[in-house]
This record gives sequence, C-alpha cells and structure tokens, in this order.
Amino acid sequence: MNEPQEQMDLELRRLCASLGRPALSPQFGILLQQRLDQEKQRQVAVRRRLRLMQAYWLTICAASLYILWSWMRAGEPLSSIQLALLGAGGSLLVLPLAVLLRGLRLSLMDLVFGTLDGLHLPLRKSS
Amino acid sequence: MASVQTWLLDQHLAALAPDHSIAPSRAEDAALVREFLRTGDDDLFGTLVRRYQDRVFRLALSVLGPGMEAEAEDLVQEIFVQVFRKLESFRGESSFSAWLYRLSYNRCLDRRRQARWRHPHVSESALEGLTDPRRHANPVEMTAHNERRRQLLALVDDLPDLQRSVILLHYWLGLSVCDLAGLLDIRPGTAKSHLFRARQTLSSRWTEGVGHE
Repeated sequence: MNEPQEQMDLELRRLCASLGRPALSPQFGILLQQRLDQEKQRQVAVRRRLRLMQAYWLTICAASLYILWSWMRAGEPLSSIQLALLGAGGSLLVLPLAVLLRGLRLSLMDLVFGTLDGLHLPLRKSS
Repeated sequence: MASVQTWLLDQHLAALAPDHSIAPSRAEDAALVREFLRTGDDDLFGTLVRRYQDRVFRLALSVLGPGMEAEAEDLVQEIFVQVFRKLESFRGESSFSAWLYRLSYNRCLDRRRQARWRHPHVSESALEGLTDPRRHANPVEMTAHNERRRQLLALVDDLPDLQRSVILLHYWLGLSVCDLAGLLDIRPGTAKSHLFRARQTLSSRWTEGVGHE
C-alpha cells in the first residue's frame, strides 16, 4: 500500500472501530418464526383457492360437454331449454373472467385493445 | 426422525466449523434443501436460517450502512421469508449459499434505494457510537472529530455499491478478503481490487475535501 492508501486504511480502521460490531437481536428468531407462520397460512389459503378454482373449471368443462352432447343428440340447438342451459353456462364462464379482471384491476376494453396492439400499450388500471 | 438427523448434522457441523468464517459445505446445504422440500420439516429450514442468518445480516449491513441495524434485521427476516417461498425454484445449479447471497444482495439493493429516498444523508444514529467523551473533553474538538467522521461516512456511502460493501464488510464487519468475496459471489482477486480502488477513491475525495476546508 502506498502512503495515501495507508492513511485511508488507518482512518477507516479508526472510524469502524468506533462504530462497534452490530449483532442480531435476541428477538430475531421469534419474529422470523411469526413471519414464517403467516407465510405458511397464506400458502395454505392460496392452495385452497386454487383447488376451488380447479374444481370450478372442471365442473364448467363437464357442463359444456354435456350441453354440446345434448345438442348433438336432439339436433335442435335453439330450443328454449337449451337456450336456458346456454345462458346459465355462459354466465358461469363469464363470471370468473369478470372476477379475474376485477382482481387484476383491468378493464375489459384495456385488455381487448392491449391484445390487439400486441400488448405494447400500458394497460390502464381502472379505479 | 428428521429432527434427530438435523441435530446430528448440526453437531457434525459445529465440530467441523466452530468459526463462523468457515462456510458450510455445498453438499450439506443441498442435502438440507432437498430434505426440507421433501418433508416440509420446519427444523430443517431453521437449520438453514441459523447457518446463514449472521452472514446475510452482515451482507445487509454492508449495503444499508451504519445506523441501519434495525432495518437490516427486518430485511433479513423478509429475505428468509422470500427464501421459504422460493426454495422450490432453487434448482441446485449453483450452491445454495451463492443463490441465497445473490437473492439477498439484490433485495438489499432494492431496500437501499427505498431507504436512500427516505434518508438521503448519513443518519444521526450512525454517528451515535462515534462520540467518545473521554477522548474529546473539549466540545469544540469533539464536534470537529464527529464532523470528520461524518464526512468519511458520507464518502463511504457515496461509493459504488460493490466497493461500499467491500469496505464495510472488511473494515466494519471484520471479514477477511476471502470471506467477503464468498459473500459477494466474486473472486478474492476482484475483491482485493475493489478494496484498493475504494481506498483510492476515498483517499482522493478525502484530500479534496480537506483541501477545500
């Protein structure tokens, strides 16, 4: 080390000696455990919601297949009962999409135009 | 059963590495991570935390700087929660320690940017430990002494990220060049070069500062 470096080395040693060596507080482990417990609870809740959504979509798929199969068997796709079934099925499909968009705070138009633009436009967050 | 294994592993490690500066082996970490992902045993994760908490704390302090001990501790907790969340994505391509240190360092830099926005200057609390009334009975002398220290701390604070971390890890937190290189995931030669350049920068800025006074 040359002289200015040595001097700086000394200055830094003096400065840092006066700062003292910090250590983790005794509560560190307890607080971390609390945070980890919260994280575990969050993960359990997420998994539960995921399973619920999986069950929901499986039901939707099964219902859609059933409607399609009924149409093919009856050969008359626009009878009143089938329209009611179609409406119910459609609502079931649209509802989760609306919930999803609301959860993501996206408006439907932003999503449509964003897709048309190759998603280059920043999506406007609805209030 | 897993707890007994963990205890035995800890005993083995304690015998092997009584000094904190000796890093745990890559194979042991990988085995612990695998076992934790398989069983979800909290004790295994606890072992990983105990093994690395001091090092991650030092890393956080080297990024956040003196006077930010409470924030660094909070950050270390956040980092371990993030590790708990992301451990499944650890594929073992690098060592667990390198993965953890990289994740920690990036997280610390993010926090520093936020903290710097809130506290743009060297905090008063950073200077609390600097005053030694026995050595500076004269208040004027003490003020000058503190001012000098404050200037040096501010100069250290203004260094580039890696240089600042190297300086603080070496001088403040007492790590050897090899240990701090491991913590920052750089080669010891590179760490030495950062140390040299940081001292050089500090020295020239310090001289400029003294010349202006």
